[in-house]
Amino acid sequence: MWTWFHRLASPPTFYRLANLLTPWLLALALALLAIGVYGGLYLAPADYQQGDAFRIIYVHVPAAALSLSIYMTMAVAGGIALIWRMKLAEIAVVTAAPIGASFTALALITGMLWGKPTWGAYWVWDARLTSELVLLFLYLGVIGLNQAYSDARTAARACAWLALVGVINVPIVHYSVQWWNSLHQGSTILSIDGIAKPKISGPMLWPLLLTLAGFYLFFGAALLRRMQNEVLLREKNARWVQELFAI
Amino acid sequence: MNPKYAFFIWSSYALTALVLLWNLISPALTRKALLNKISAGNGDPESDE
Amino acid sequence: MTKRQKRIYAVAGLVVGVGVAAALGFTAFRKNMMYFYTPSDLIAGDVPVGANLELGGLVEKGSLVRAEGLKIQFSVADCAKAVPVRYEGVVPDLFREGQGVVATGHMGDDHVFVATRILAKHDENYMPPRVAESLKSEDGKHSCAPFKSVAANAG
Repeated sequence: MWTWFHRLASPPTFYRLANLLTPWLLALALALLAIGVYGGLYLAPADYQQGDAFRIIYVHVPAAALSLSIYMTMAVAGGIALIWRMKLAEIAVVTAAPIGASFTALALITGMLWGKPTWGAYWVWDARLTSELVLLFLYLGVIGLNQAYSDARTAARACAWLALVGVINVPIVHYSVQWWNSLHQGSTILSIDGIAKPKISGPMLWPLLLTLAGFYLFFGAALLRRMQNEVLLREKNARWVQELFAI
Repeated sequence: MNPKYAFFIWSSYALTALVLLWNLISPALTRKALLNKISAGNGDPESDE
Repeated sequence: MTKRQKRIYAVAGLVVGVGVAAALGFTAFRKNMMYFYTPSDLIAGDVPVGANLELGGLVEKGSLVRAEGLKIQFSVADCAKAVPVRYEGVVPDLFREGQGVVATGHMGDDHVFVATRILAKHDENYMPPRVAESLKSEDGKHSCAPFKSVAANAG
């Protein structure tokens, strides 16, 4: 098990594996997204309250779910990077941050575009919206911190510490709608009573599950691509890189 | 689709497409620049640039 | 203790420490993180006097009265109490009887809440109109449960 782990963690193995995996991940992600978006925009019926405005759910919820999952990924990779000094984990921390920031910004903006026609306001300072904005600043903090150091490994470790400190915000975002009064509604899918008695009807649910899966696979592909770049940058003078691109 | 909501819905989906696209293009450009650099420095493995 | 063990303790200690600090902080400032007060809070007097505040609850069935122009009056209720609200202006599309709302304004001298802004608070249930129709008879289609008293929650 450990030899397998170390093999995978070696940059050349990772690079080749990622090369194999990424096109498939990306193709599957885009296929799921295409079907999910078509289902969400055309096949799903309009909502009894919100009419068509609810269709924003098919991009807003996956973006918001990813914004939390990517941060969790960063924190776990950060822990591994700090404890075991694993290079690939360091790389994962710094390369996940820009992807996470982009999906957090997307969650915030699609949320505003959903809030205006339904709530009647683009923005309010309730616990959910505020904590999600804090999440965006945490991502920007990691990105900034990474650029502040000239040594890549020192930078990655500093980012790992920040990722670990900020991970407390992840449960806060998720549970904000339960712990505090908020304008934002509760969780539709990730709730205990929602599993027993679905809070969204079947024809509206399946496109959401497809776009969710599509977003997650897309993140996998995007992260692998960025990690490959970072591996190349750090190892650009290594023999395997030179051999890989020898003309 | 209720035209009143169309702006909000289409903007959301358009922005999503933009974010996905950026996440594809940005690493692709980085890679291109990196590969140029690596093949340029191929003859001189000791060089840092 | 090996260096690696030390690092494990440092990482675990940091995460636990930040978690405890956050939990303590949020217990102390729970009230400040609430977006709105409920009718129960207002009636119990657990609100800043004369201040502008948010009042959240369901628009009570049968309470909505439309006066001339854009003037309306209705009651906002949580699971226990109700407060009359006066408002003049445009309301969100979702505004109707039985719907969750958050009103910004202040308590008037006549014990009527004078609202300057009304937002709709929808719930996390999504269904086509046909399904909603079949649920009409069921109570609690719009639940009062999300409107928790700030005072009761903050202790």
